[in-house]
Amino acid sequence: MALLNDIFRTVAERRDYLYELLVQHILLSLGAIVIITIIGVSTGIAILHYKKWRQIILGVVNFLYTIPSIAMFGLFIPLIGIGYGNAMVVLVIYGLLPVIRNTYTGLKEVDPLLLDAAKGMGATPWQVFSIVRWPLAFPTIVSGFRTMVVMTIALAGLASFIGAGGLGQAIYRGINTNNSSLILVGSIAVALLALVADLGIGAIENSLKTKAKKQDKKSRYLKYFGLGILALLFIFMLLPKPGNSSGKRIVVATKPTAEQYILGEIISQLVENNTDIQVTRKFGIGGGTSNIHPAMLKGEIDIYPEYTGTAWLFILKEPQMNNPDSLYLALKKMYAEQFNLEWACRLGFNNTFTLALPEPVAQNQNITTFSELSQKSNGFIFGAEFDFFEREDGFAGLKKVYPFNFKSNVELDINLKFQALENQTVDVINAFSTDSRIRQMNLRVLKDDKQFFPAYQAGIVIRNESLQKYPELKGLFKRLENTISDSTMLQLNYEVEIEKQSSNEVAANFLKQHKLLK
Amino acid sequence: MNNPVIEIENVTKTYETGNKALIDVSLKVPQGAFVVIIGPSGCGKTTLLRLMNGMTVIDSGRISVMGKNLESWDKIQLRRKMGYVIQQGGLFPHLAVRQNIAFVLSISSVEKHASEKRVNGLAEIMGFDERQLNAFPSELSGGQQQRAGVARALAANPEIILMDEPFGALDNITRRNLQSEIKEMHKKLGITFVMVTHDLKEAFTLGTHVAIMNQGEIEQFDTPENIQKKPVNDWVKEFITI
Repeated sequence: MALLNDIFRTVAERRDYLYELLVQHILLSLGAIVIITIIGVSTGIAILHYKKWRQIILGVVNFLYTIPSIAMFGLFIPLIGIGYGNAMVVLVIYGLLPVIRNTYTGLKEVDPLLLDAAKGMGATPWQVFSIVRWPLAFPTIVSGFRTMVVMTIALAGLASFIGAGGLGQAIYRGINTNNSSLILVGSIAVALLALVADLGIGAIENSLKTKAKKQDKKSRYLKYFGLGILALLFIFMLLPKPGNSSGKRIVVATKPTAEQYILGEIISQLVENNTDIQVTRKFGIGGGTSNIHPAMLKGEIDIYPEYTGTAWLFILKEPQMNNPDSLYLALKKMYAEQFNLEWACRLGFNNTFTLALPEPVAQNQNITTFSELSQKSNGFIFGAEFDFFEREDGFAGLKKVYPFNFKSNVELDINLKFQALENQTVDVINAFSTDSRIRQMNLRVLKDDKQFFPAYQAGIVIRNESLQKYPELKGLFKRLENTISDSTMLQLNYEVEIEKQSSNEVAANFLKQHKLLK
Repeated sequence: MNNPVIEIENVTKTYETGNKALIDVSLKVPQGAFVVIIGPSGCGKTTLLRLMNGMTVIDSGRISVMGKNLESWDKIQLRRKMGYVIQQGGLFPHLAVRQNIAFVLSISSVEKHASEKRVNGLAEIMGFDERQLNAFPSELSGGQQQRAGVARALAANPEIILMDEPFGALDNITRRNLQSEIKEMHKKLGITFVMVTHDLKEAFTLGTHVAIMNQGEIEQFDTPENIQKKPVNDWVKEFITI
């Protein structure tokens, strides 16, 4: 029951958000369905006549179908970039197989005797096709179409992975912000949409079967029901895309973490509230920086929150630098020169690797820094995910700077780390400094007093072209400079991940407190 | 013998498989005759029938239909002037019996009212009631399906009707009934019939002329009486006494 209440509350609270996602989902699916049907049916007809192409086309389509869909979305990012176009291409590629195959098979398996009879009675090739072959193949073609529609609606749920929106965004956001009722609402909505479409097509199919006979009431109602559903879908299609009225528009993107969703909301609401620019939110882009950065360069995204360490080590591939301020200055300069991207501000907090242990223990033993821990380390068991032990910039490097000598080192799955700490299987773990579970479990984050871990200070990256286009954005982000401390970010993450507030509200409250909303 | 309505001269047909279906075959179908082509399976009788409406293309020789060389016919127009009946009627399962009978009329865009009138007329001759006309072919018995097939062939008032083993799949009683109906119809309408069968009794009952084929050649072409009286060779003699 509690779960059911959660679901209803989620729907009630986020009605507008969910409605927008539903519309996006329907638009994306319908667009793909129309394209698939046109291409699929005509290809199916074509390969009936061109034997040479038959094996090749069926082989290629079959092969494409076996590629995992997530991989397919990823494969097209370098070619088409992220967003609607990419999702559309992937959906079309997947949907083609059932439609082409059923069209071809349906047409091929019509009894040759009947085709011969029609030809022998003087039907033209077109009449043989349209009066005999096509109608006899139609049930097979429709069943392929039906499979494709359900599949496309379900697959469109993955489109949010590459920033194309749709109900998958609710699921994806639910996963990344540890919100199971949002995951459920998104999943149920996708399933319902697929079910409704399936029933609608089924109803039309049934009424067609009885067409030639006198239509009984039931089949007539079925047909109206089916047509009604299709009409509804088309009305959705004709609705203007939400917020398309003004010409001023920027795209804000984020990586798929709760923290990034919150920052994305803070940026978006700040822009919406202080300017007349419309914001398109492409939150939770799969692959994070590796997909967002190229999209920034192409101009598909205007703004996103990034961490200095990631930009420095991953994008610029520069050697580690210990002073965070000089790193930021160098970074800002290189981004401007190499990419024409502007680091508009640093938000204040540093989401880096750190070590954490329960607050009472830390108090008891009087430990606040890495160095202090290393002196007493033989009394502690250390837990971390196995790649932390593997990496040169992980445990091995850390030991060179601080002489750790733990009682034992335990390799754990990254998701089980906190649980192990709670069970006292381990005493100290590595963690990200703004992880909400630090607050939830009342852990103390130790100070990296010799600055071993690079700084991952959060900042806002914006395209210079966007700044020139919308000069009103220029001073805007400066107002966020140093407004979010480590503990503030920890608190905001806690509100979203543990207390299940929406990132929307959390961001709005934050902006209100800092008097950044008009 | 009247003017031949179909004239086949020295026609040879070899299939892509190298299989010789017809070897130097000549045949004259007299106007208003009922010609039955018979022979063991694989003798080329169906191929011979399908030459007549251009469904099969010949390698060499000459064919003329209704006084005109086959090559100069628009095949589609020609076929619409010739009824075509195949095994089990070859009815379209997705169309009601009524639409099946009107098929040739609808593909040659005959006006709807005239077409309906014609279908109703044929239904009366063939003994179909309103309910049967609105049914799908699968709801009819085998004999009724074949009747509908014949009605469909007659719909456009053809001068010639080609039938490929039309009664092959029917039980004996139904077959005899249909045979006598067809015979009546032939007398009444004065249309030329060409029929392929493997049933000797059927051939001699229905045919005004019978062509006996063997291995791609016509062994004998004559009236049933003459064939029975004077078979041209031992093979024919043996064939007709089986």
